[in-house]
Amino acid sequence: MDSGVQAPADGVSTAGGFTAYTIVSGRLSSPGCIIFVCCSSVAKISVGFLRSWRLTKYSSSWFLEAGGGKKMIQDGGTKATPAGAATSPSHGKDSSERNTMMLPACAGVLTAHSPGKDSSCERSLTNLDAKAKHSSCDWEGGCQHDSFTFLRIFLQLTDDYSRSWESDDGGSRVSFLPSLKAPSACDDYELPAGKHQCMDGNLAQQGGVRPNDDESCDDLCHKAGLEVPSVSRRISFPNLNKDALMEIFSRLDHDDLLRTATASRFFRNIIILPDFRHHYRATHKGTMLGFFVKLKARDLEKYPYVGCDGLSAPLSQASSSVSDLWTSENTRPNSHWPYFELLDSRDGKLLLFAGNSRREQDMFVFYPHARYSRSPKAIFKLSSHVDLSIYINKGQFPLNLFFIRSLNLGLTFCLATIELPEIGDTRKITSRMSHILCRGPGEGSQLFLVAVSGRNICMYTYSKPSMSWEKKSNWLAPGCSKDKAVKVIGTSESEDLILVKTSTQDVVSIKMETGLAKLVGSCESDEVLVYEQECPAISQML
Amino acid sequence: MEVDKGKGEAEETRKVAEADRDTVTLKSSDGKLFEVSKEAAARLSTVLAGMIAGGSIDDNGTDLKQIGSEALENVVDYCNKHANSIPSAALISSSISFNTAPFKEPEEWERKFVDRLSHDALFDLVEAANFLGMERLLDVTCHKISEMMKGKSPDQIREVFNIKNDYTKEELEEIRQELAWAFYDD
Repeated sequence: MDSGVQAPADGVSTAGGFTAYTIVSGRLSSPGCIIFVCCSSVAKISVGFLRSWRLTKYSSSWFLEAGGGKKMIQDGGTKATPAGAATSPSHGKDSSERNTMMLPACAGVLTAHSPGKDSSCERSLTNLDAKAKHSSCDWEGGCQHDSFTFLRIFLQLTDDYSRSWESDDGGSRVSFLPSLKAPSACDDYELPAGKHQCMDGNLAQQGGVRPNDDESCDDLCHKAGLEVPSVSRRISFPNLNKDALMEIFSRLDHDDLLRTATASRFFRNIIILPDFRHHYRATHKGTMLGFFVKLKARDLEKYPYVGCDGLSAPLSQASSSVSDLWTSENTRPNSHWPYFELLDSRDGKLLLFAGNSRREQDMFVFYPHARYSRSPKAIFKLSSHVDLSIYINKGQFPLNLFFIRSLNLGLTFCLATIELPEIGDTRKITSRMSHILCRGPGEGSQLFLVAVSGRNICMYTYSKPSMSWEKKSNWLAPGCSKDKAVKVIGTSESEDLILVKTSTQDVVSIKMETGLAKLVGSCESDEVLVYEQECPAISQML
Repeated sequence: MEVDKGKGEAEETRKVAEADRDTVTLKSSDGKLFEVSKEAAARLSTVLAGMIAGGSIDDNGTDLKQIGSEALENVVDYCNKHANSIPSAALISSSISFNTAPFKEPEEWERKFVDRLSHDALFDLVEAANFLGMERLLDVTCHKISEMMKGKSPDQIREVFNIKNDYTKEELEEIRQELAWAFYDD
């Protein structure tokens, strides 16, 4: 690549679902299926094949796309989505900040594909142009090239990837998998996500396409030198293909899934397939194992990992393994890049802004693996009535709040709803979730989850009575005690958690939906990145 | 040119005639014919819906070589009995993507439908549902099998699928050490 960014080793991929690769050798072995050897930079050579590819010309550049690239082009008409824009919008304000940070890196990625800098690339493009006589070709178009070399490609993975940077394992596989371990052969032959996999006689039935009537995907894999486990042939009784087995397995919970993997190597191979993991992740939420703390220090010391307290043994072990992977000599980010920033954490992956120097940084997804379990519950007291003051436009307005509903969702959980009074010009508050700590009548204080929409305000209590209050701009704050303040320092999207730091540096996670809270650890920082394992049961097997 | 035109018209006529019929005939791998209402087939199976829309349904029985007669009978039974209570397969597939579709619990009649099936018939039905793109039936049958697997030890899971342990002794020992809790039958 021209970006000057050192290529990541196994365990990382460039962010945004985009990966720049140079094909150094390619062969169109059957319609729509390419076996190729590609080189991500000086250090990394990969072998794989692509199905459902498309060759497209943008301006003077040719791009090979796979997965959801075709759709994106049709919809957007642009050749790439900036990685910053790919960050989930649910991060709110943070995402815009991230966009600002990411755009230069993305520009670097795109620059790497600009034609004209590589004479070999130009030669190849000329050949292609002469043979194809099309600016775009795909399956249906029937455009076929016998061979090509030195074609610069721009892979855009599945649709999910273009929307969210973290998805990097369920789509097209070119062996740049985000695994700290070397990818298995089973990983390597995998095709883009979806139902139309490399399966036994199941493609045409699903409306998918098959590379060749006479040549199965398995054959292609063998040609590419990849080991392909036999599919349903090993199953003696129910001759289910991988599609059906994946459907069945995806309905299992983590424990049963893990047991299923231990029943048969063939089952295990299916379960660790990126496609299955992608599907499973979409239907099963991950679990928070810990968090990365953002400190004003240098590099690794800047982002220490704190495992959650009170995890069960397997989960605790999983959390420890994340810690080990984060700090050990061979797997820590510094072994790949001297400089890095930790931008985000999601689905067991970390978004890094990293490079050989501070001036040559790009975004990468770093993917440590861990395991899964549940965490203990905590018990809290609640009061039935609180007196609140609300600060709007710097004015303080008292409110009397009575809880009108009490729910028992494992823990007692109360809900109160009120309508804000008309206050001067301020008649409407945009929808917002916030958290307050306020004093109830008599004993202690309580932490509240507050949802404000228009003039309606809903409050959910879930806090320890021993906590005190904090005043913060645009928070509801009935009082203030700086030495006993709490702050929201992080969020966990898939588990719908917020992390709150107390004055004693304890970190408490609070489930948004139910109000369940638990002590998860401690840290001094005001910002942490929650580490959730995307699919711990599967990751445990990798 | 004229001949081509004539053929085209004949084809068009055949398609129109097919479209007028209320049922479609499906032929199993062993040659048995089954009739299913066109509406039900189109509503429940994306594959059949596509074939009907494309006019590729054969009057003499559309060949479904991958589906045996017992499985096809169950499929037809499912379609004919319950089509009206199920939303269109096309609607389901268009509104919910494969990767994000939440699993819907089977309804009572669907539970009964799969409960009465033998082990073999259940697995065959999964295959058939998968083949025909019958999302709901696939959902129901896979749910049933996953329930059969829940809480089972690896040995019991092998029994469900009638498969042999293909791990080597060394691999198994390694797995047992690493994932001891998974072998709670020991």
